[in-house]
Amino acid sequence: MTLRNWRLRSFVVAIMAATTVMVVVLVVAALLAISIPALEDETQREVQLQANDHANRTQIVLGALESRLEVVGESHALVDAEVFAGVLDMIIARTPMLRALYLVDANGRVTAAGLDSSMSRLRSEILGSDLSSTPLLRATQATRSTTWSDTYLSALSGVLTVGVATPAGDSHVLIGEVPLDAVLSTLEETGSTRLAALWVIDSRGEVITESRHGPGARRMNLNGLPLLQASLAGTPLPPYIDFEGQRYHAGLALSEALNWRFVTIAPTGLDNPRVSRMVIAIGAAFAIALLLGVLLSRSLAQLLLAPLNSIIAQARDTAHGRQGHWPRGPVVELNALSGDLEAMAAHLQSLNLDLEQRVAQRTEALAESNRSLQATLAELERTQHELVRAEKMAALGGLVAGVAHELNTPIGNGLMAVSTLQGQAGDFRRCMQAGLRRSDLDAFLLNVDQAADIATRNLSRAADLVTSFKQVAVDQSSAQRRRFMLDEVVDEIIITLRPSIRRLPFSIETDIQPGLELDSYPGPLGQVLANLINNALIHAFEDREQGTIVIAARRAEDGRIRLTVSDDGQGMDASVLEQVFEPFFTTRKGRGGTGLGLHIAFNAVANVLGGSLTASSAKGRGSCFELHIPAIAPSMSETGATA
Amino acid sequence: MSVQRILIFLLAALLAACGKPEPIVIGFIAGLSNRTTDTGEAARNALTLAIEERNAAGGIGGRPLRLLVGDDGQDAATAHQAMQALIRARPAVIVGPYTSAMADVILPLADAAGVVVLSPVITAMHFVGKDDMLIRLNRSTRDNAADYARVLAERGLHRLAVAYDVRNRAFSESWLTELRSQFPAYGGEVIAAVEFESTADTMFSEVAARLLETEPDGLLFIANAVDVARLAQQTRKLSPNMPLAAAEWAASEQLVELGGQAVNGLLIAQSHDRTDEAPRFTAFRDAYRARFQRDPGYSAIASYDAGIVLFQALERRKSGQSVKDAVLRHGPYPGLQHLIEIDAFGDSTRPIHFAEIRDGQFVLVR
Repeated sequence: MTLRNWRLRSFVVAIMAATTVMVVVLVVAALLAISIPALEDETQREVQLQANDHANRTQIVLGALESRLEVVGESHALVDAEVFAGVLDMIIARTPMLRALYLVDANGRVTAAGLDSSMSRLRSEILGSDLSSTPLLRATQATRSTTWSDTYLSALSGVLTVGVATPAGDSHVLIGEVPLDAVLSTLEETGSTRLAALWVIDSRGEVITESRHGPGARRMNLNGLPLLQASLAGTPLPPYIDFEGQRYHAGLALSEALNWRFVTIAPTGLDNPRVSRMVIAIGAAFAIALLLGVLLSRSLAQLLLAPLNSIIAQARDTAHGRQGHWPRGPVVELNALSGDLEAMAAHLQSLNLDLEQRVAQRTEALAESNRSLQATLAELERTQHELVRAEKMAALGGLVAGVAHELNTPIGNGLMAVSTLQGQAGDFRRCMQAGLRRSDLDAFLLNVDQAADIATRNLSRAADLVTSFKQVAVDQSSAQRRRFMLDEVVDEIIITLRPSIRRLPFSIETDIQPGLELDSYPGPLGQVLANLINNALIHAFEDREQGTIVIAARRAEDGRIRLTVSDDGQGMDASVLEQVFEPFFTTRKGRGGTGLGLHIAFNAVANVLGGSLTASSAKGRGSCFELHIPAIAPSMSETGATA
Repeated sequence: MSVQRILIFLLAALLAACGKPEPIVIGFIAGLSNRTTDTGEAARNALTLAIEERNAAGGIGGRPLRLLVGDDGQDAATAHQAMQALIRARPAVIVGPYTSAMADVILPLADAAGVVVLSPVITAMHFVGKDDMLIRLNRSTRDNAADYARVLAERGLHRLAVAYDVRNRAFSESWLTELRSQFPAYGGEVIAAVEFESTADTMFSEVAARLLETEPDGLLFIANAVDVARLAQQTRKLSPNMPLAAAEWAASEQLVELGGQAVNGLLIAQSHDRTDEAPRFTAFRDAYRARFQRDPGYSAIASYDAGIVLFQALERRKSGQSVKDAVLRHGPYPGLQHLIEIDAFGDSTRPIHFAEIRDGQFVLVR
């Protein structure tokens, strides 16, 4: 994750703004969390109070009407029918809430009617009509007490109405029709401005009337609402109703006298004007606080950042080597920072100067020691070359000694045969002077033949040796490449070495796989073998009575030639074995060893023959040097021969 | 107040996001404030009950049903307004109207809005056999008038004087025309037809007097329950024993309450069998009584049937299928008392039961 890089100004503003927002949000949330439930509770209580209030007021107004009707009803028995009909009309005229008054006899027949002006022409139709089946009349006849009805269709006026019935005398009943609108105007006259909407509901759940504001329920049957179900069942009322997808606070009051229920409802949540006003007020406060917070945080950030920015500018100048004045401002910590940075800059400058001087001194010293080392190295290389050359010369010297010794016998024999022949030739000449006998001549000729034969054989032998030595010499002194058979070259090497071995109690055996042909450098190979054999003779068999050197060669699986020179001498310990190919490593310091023999062999194998030379040994168990060389040597330019 | 709106909108969006399924709106239109309130209220109550039951059983496809009630006031302007308010709420279907006069006002609006109008009761021939947005669950005035002609003739009422309400002319004239054409086949004759307008100050005594002047065998009223009750009241004052009959429109439970002794002996047809004791019917009747403290009348039963039809159709409706197509195709529907089969024109039929009012009760007659 990569962190976004902020500008300090934005960062400070963001932090300040975030802090402001967080604080304000927390305060607003706390305010709302405390105040909204309180407002909702208050609304709930008020809604219930209003329901009670509506019920009480309506009951008082309708109770007054009821009383008036009861008085009229009681007067029925006291006045004659005609006067009573006049009383009914008078009551209607003086009571705007009543549309019609019917006096009904025991059979349900209308015997007298008081009608308002809109209905007066129906008087003849109404009189004599049968209301015996209406629920209101039946209920009143049954209880003989004043009863209010549910809404019903008036049989006489054909409109929806509520009715009140009261006994009139012993058998009659007085029925008053109150239009639904009259109920509403009663409520509106008595009620002040209300928070809640009102539904007046009859026992069947039909809405008798409702306030003009609020959700209309007039066409609905509301007995299905849990609130009314609870009221009907006498269980605790739920504080809310859900109506047409919205939730309302609800209060319910039952008027026992009317058998109507007064339900008041007020919106919940943000639809509740109190809550929404509160939310808006708090929201506005939130916005203002936020705005002020953000604006102030910008200027405050500027106050803090101005001195810091000048310090940063000065630091940048100093970093680019420009001098300047380190600023001071009103903030103690920033002044301290500026001062510290100034001191640090000065200190750094002096340290810098010091450091440059020291670097110059050290550089000079290093250059001096480098020169001296290079001279030493050149000296050493020169010495090494000289030693290598001396070793080569020594080897050549040994070779010459061997050659001379080897030639000594055949040439001596030949010389002896020829000198013997010379002597016999003298004898023969004397015989010839004394008288040559045939037998003398035969003997002389036999001697000549013998001497010539001896001389010829010995001189041939010498010639062979010379040819052979010449070959070795040519091979060793010039790294000439040619094709050769390995066994022949090994034999030639052994021949050249034989004179130095002959006097010693050691033997050399060969075990060369026949037919191994190489295209390589026989000279360096011979020198390697000679060095290895000499190494064995000098080191492995030191102070020994006997010893055998075995030279073996095989073609290895990878096609290269594996040539080993092993002895059964005293072997080497690990520390010696480790350094055996190092130049100038010798165990015979001061006793003629140069310490270069094996090094030269190693270099020849690696650089000229293109192979490897390894040694394995253990103290008292002999040593084995192993060459691993290609049958076809790489060209000299590839190996880059050095020795 | 725009801040308030925004807050309310945010809250509403939050609530909507909470995943309350959108309710399916079922519109309802009938007369609820005037002289047909008896049938209108019973119909609304039955549909209310059907919807409450359905919602208690999980609604349709997890969506609750919401009843939206409109009052046509039996007045063209009021009906127009109420219908437009209903259409604005994008209802799946509108149940109603309950009088043919109102159907004349409502149907063009429904056709224009493409809303199915499912009328449980209307019968006028004017609406039969038409491929429009109206689906009827009742038989036709022709069927009814034919049955009435037969039954009236059987009861010896051959010379009949008729009073009919021209406020619901589409129905009453259709009914009268059909009776006039069918009655002669049974040896009957309409000897007088007196029109009247159903208003608060109509002098029914005069209507009754004009009918009785013709000295008929009996009187037939083609009117709503309130008017039939008042006509009966006035008739009885003039001729206490005149045989009376009324078209099925008046056969509400209120007819008896309103008519009292005056409607005793009145012959009337009903589209349901109130003696039915099948458990399904009695369960409905008991539930209705418990909820509304009244007995369900013919318009209640027909409206409950309408609920059965539209619930099944909406439930089986495939995505992309129109409501009308769904109602026409996913029948037949198990009505409360009969199997409801709807033809391609959205017409259907139902049985008819003749009853006489005796001591405040409807008593079936043959």
